[in-house]
Amino acid sequence: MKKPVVGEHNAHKIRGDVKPPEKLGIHGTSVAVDQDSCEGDGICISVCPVNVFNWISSPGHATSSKKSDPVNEIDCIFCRACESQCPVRAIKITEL
Amino acid sequence: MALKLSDYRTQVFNDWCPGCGNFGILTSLQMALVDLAVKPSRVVIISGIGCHGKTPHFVNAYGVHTLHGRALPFAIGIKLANPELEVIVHGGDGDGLGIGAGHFVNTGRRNLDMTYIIHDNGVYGLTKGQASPTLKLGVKTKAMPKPNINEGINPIALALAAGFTFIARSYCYDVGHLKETIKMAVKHKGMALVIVQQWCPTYNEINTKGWYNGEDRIDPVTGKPIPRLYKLEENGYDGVVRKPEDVLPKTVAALTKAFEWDDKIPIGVFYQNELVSTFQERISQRITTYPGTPPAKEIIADNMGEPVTSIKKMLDELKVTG
Ligand SMILES: Cc1ncc(C[n+]2csc(CCOP(=O)(O)OP(=O)(O)O)c2C)c(N)n1
Ligand code: SF4
Ligand code: SF4
Ligand SMILES: [Mg+2]
Repeated sequence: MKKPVVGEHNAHKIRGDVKPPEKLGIHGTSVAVDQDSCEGDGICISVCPVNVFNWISSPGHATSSKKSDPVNEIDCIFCRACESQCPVRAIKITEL
Repeated sequence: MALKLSDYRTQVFNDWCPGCGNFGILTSLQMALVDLAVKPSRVVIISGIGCHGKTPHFVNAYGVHTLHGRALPFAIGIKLANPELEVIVHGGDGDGLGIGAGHFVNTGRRNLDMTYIIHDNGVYGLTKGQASPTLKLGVKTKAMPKPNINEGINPIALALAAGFTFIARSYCYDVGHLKETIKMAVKHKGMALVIVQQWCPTYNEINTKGWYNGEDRIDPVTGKPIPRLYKLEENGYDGVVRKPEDVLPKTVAALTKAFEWDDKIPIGVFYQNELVSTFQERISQRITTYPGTPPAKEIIADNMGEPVTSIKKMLDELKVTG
């Protein structure tokens, strides 16, 4: 969260180094998804009880061609299911 | 100044398992308090023992984490001592319907103006997943060596029999529905019960998100799951008693709904009756000074810290003479 905000889409902020399609940065603030680490596993989408995430396609990215995007970040209830299940630890939850 | 969700949060480390339904209940409670605009200094959260019992630690308000099954007697004492407080009790299905079942029944009869929220996950989460009193006969969750040999209790039917005057069910992860249900329960004049169907992702692998969403029952026409939960209010059901003649038919209707389970699980308000006098009203009739000076407002010591009540006269009477 210390990194400067460089953009905004789907109702959340984007931080870090962003040079699409290779570098996508960190999406979200309370639900922060490092889309450069995300491998498109999708476990966060299935475990989230309040449907915070949705797929977004990322053609040309090194780790995967689709990413999890916190499109309903505002609905997060901080249960940390996504954070604990992500195989590459790409999600960080912060209660704001 | 308007209250925010963060005004009801604490910094206490939360050790509920990731994905636990308790997070949905906690957030809904905090959202309800924000909407109701009750200041943290007017709220008391009381709990029994179990995973649910940690709730008061995570809510910035007064709180007592009491004994297993005994949250209600503590709450009754607090509410009677200071009726201005908004008293909200959190119990578990084991805590409130097993060891605490006697208190559950007798709290219904008293009809104090309080709210009781039961976190119903079908198991004893804290003690590693034994069957709780709400788990149905024949169901086997992962920590049980054999399927449940006992029938599950029906908390809504029990609450009707006990005399709770507001009886509702909601779901841990329908945060909007649960928030509104808690608000109605808090505003209700009398004893309100909210049963919350709660996931325990660690020990209850039967009543999961997929089970509630009906993912095992695909509609052949639409190809979509047929959810088990449905909303009473969206189906023309109205459990509110408006005149004395409504009591019996509305009780029967609520009881009928209370027995729906498995394929169709109703959520919403089953029964509400504000025609019944509250315990505070009954006490006020006997002790006319009670509303103005409940125990919390009574002066108990003089400015030297000495008790103002003297039992000398009583002791004098008991003195053995001759
Ligand atoms: C007098 C007493 N008996 C037994 C226990 C052990 N014990 C602790 S929690 C619990 C049951 C918890 O189940 P539930 O109320 O459903 O809470 P959950 O953990 O599922 O939220 C039991 C039996 C206890 N703490 N005190
Ligand atoms: S913490 Fe829970 S509610 Fe929030 S995004 Fe993750 S899974 Fe969803
Ligand atoms: S054991 Fe079950 S009820 Fe307890 S914190 Fe874990 S998921 Fe929640
Ligand atoms: Mg339980």
